[in-house]
Amino acid sequence: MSHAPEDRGREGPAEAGAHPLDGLPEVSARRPALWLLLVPAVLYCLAPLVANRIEPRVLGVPFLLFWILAATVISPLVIWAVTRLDPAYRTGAAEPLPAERETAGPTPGGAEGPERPEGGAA
Amino acid sequence: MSSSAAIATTIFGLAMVVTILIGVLSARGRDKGLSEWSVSSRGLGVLFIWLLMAGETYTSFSFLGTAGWSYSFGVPILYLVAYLTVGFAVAYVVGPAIWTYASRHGLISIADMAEHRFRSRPVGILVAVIATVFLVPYIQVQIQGMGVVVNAMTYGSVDLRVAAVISFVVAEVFILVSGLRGSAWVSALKDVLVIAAVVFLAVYVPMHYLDGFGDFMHRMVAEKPEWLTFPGHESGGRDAMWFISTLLLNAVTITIFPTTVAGYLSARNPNALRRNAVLLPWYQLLLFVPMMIGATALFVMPALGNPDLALFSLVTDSLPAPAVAIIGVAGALSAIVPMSVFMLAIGTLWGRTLLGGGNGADPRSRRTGRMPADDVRTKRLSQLVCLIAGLIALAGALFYPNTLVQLSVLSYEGVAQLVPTVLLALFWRRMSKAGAVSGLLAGLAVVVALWATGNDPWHGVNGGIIGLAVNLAVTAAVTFARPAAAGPPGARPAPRTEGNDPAPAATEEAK
Repeated sequence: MSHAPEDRGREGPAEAGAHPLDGLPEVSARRPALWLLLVPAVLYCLAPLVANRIEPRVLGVPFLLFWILAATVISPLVIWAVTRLDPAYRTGAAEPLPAERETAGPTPGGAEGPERPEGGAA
Repeated sequence: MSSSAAIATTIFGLAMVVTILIGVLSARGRDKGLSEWSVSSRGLGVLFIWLLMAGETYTSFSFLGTAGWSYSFGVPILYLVAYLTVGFAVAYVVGPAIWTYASRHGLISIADMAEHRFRSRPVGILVAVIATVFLVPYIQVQIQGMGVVVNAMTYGSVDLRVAAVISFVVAEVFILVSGLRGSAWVSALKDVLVIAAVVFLAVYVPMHYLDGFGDFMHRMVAEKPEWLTFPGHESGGRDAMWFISTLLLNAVTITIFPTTVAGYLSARNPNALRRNAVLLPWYQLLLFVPMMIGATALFVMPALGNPDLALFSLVTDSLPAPAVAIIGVAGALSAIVPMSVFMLAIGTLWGRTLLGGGNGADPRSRRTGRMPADDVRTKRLSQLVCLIAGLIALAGALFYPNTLVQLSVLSYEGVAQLVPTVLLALFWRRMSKAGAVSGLLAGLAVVVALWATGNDPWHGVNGGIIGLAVNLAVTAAVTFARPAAAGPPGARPAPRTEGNDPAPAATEEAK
């Protein structure tokens, strides 16, 4: 604790050039859509509890296997839906980190607007 | 050597040469610094992140173990698809979170992040050492997997040990020269071959051995129903509880695996990671194919000595040599790509945090400020460790093929204990260094004790999740009992004047 590194910018040691965070907006808004990310876990966790049987077969596929296959197809669709609803994705923002809430501060860089707005939903 | 073996061996040799060329050439004209080597200068877009991370998830285990488990146990193997897919949902938040923290402070590994978060190099060193202990066996598993694949695809003409040495040399050459970018490019070749091979097999195998997919399912239901519901066939207690606890533990753990984090940190922006959380799960559909082939082998070769060879036994049995060779090359690259990223990750963990003097966030460490000259030295150290880690794994594969592999069973459970220190710490501002360290050690002790006494899984519950529960409880208890002496960045409302907390002020100025 005797001395402190004084002149270390946020780039940290030995990394020069344009900073990857430059121009990225911050989001502080609530992101309720993230709760949807629990859907895949729920689907798979339910599999051995409610679907642990062979009948009824769907298109010849035993029910348990069909359930897992369906979960594997539904999950990325749910994550896709999250991206549509998530302001952080729509603005291309950095992830808000509670451990750094004080340090993140206001971001003048945000004025430049999102680099990659991605999609018409924004 | 039969003519089939000669053809297969030639194709394999050519493929290895092409692999080295792609890997080595990928770094041409790139920066020579540590952050290029470790995290591709944080410059990869959606496509390369996808290639790289798909490459990491589809390992030689996918060809060997997946078919083998399906053959031996049946449905318990579905945990693999389950945890990977759930893991991508978790990664939608965790990936950008880790990217944001690491990019903001110029960090390159989970040890680097822990050191910065707790302002303590010893914490970083602890994370690096623990991660290494659980990763080196993983490299060995890949080297041995490569040996098995190459031996099978060349009809036994290339010895297991020779194949192990070849895989080590190929992976080391391009990873030492090109770093993570080399792995991403080799992954492109690998993913093309894997997708082609697996889609082909999905159609061909049930047609060749049975009357198509419908007949396969019909015969499974009629003759092998035990394989189709939990707990599967003689699976040693892999029941519903095991499935759920393992999938939840692994889904969270895979998001902080040092290799996954290398992928996160190489992203150009957080949306490249969020978009990949949508795209990568589709790749996991390919995992159902080796499962189906493993189950098909039940009807064709009911008495396989080594179940891991279920897929390759059918392939060599039914296809001409060139096709066998191409599928074999896909399998071999599925060992080489993850192996190279694992070796790189260990090099990165050690290079800066342990050997390179840390990142300067620890007020007690001597290294401060930016030192470009040091960057090259740190990279050299990282490359050296990358080589040594590979050599240890190779020696293990050649001389003690079973000793280290036992440890790899614990890989996920061990790395899971790093979740509070590395990940939760980013979201929980008050978490103290003492809490993190004591929780980590307590969790590890529980995991090792359960495993050593044969109690893992404990009444069906994955030992790692019990360890993690203890870990979290201890972390919380210690954090609340002993509030942080030196808090995380911005732990207190007005930290600007504090000498030992320079990052916040610097952040403001740099903007």
